[in-house]
Amino acid sequence: MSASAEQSPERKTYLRKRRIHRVAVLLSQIMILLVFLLVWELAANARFIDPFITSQPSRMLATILRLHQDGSLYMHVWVTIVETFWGFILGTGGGFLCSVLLWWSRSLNEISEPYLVVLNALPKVALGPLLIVWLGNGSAAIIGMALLISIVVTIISLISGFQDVDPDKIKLLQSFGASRLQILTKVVLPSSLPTIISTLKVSVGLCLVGVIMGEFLVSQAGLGYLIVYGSQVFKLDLVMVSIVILAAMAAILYFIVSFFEKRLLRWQK
Amino acid sequence: MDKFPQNSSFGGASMTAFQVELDHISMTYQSPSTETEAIADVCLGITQGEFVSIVGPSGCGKSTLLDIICGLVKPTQGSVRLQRPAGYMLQRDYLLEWRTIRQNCLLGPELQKHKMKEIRPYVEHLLETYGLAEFADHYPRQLSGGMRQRAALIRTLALKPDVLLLDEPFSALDYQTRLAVVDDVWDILRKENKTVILVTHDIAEAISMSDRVVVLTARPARVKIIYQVKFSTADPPLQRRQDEKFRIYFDAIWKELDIYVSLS
Repeated sequence: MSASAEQSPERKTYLRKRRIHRVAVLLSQIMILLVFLLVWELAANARFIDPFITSQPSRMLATILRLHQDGSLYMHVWVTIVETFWGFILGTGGGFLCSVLLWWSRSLNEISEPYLVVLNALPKVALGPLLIVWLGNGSAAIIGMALLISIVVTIISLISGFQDVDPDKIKLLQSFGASRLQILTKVVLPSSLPTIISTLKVSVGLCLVGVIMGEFLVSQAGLGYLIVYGSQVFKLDLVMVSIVILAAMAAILYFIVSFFEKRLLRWQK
Repeated sequence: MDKFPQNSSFGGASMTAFQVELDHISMTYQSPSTETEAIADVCLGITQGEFVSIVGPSGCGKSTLLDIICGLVKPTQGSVRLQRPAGYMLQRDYLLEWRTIRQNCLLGPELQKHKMKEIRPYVEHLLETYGLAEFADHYPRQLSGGMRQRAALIRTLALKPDVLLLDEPFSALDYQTRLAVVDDVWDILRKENKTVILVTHDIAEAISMSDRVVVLTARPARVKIIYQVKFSTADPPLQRRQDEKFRIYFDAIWKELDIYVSLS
């Protein structure tokens, strides 16, 4: 933490090495992507691979431009975003409320345990056809899918986070005569914040999984629909483009949660 | 040296005006496999401004006794009389990491929904007096162990409790820090004229800080004997350790504990 003016030569060397290392890592990461795209493009051009089934970067770019021009790109992305948003809100919101309830009542926690374990192990896709029958052939079923996939994991990881809180911290609050609600809001929730945020990170990813799976099953709009549709009519360019956009979306969602993580956990730094 | 056998007129202090009174406290724990008798018929009276230490073999139920005095645990039999809430200091400082030192010190009043306007100046005064004013906006992890302990003490004092209960509050500190913090805390408690009950397994700590040392038996804990600790002057703990009487008290209490260990 010494001022830059009085840095020792050793420290300067150390800092320079560190900087070089970080630049090298970043460059390597970019290079891998560029080389991969280049090899893909050239291999397809030279007919080492068949672009009809593997697509190729230049064709994907053309597809994106076409989708951009007719506006359908944004419609599909928007549909997927909205469905993921509602799945996430309902899944994590509901999961949060359930885990607070289970923290509050130990008996309820004990009673629900076997059900949670089974629900967690059950592949939620199996419930997809049921959801379509119950909620109809539209967004509701897709959001239901995302909710189902995220809510059980949210409950299980949040409740274990709540129960990990140091019992002596709770004892401290009790010695001040704190109520159960105060214990929840003043100690349990703040000290579980790291758990809550890592749960959100997992849950946002799972919601996306649920939405894409739902769109596979229901297929009217969205990136999942584009993927299924593209593969059925053998437009592999469309499939590849949808996957790339999906990857970008997943990354953006992750960074949004990371941003909140940094804001909320400032006391750790 | 004044010794008092078990339960004789609440351990030597006069019968009048006890600030804390333990009346035939017994505690039995239930668990699926067994029933454990932790405390058996403990009586103790403590007067205003007195510093009483409770020592005993490890696992004898000292901390349980403190939980009972604080009102966190209901005794199976007997009753406790004192002005609540009593300030409770635990084995570690348990400062909440996401709160600044000031916010930590205001935790008690906040939980009790006190008027912050009235309590703030007092807490600021405590922070100022005990050298934490410039660290008030720091987070706990930025402070040394000794300073954290002092912050924990201010948090306890913020509610202006008449009685402080200390459950081995120095055991998590390294030895040097510990000697310094013991002096520090003792000094603060004397200045604030608090009644203190300290639970510890450290005989030297008990003698160096207290007016009386209560020796408990192994489980189930009973009052074995009570020592009135008298030094020539009101020396701080570190200086008391150099007093020639210190050895004598130490050996006496050590023997009381030792005899029991060798028997069990």
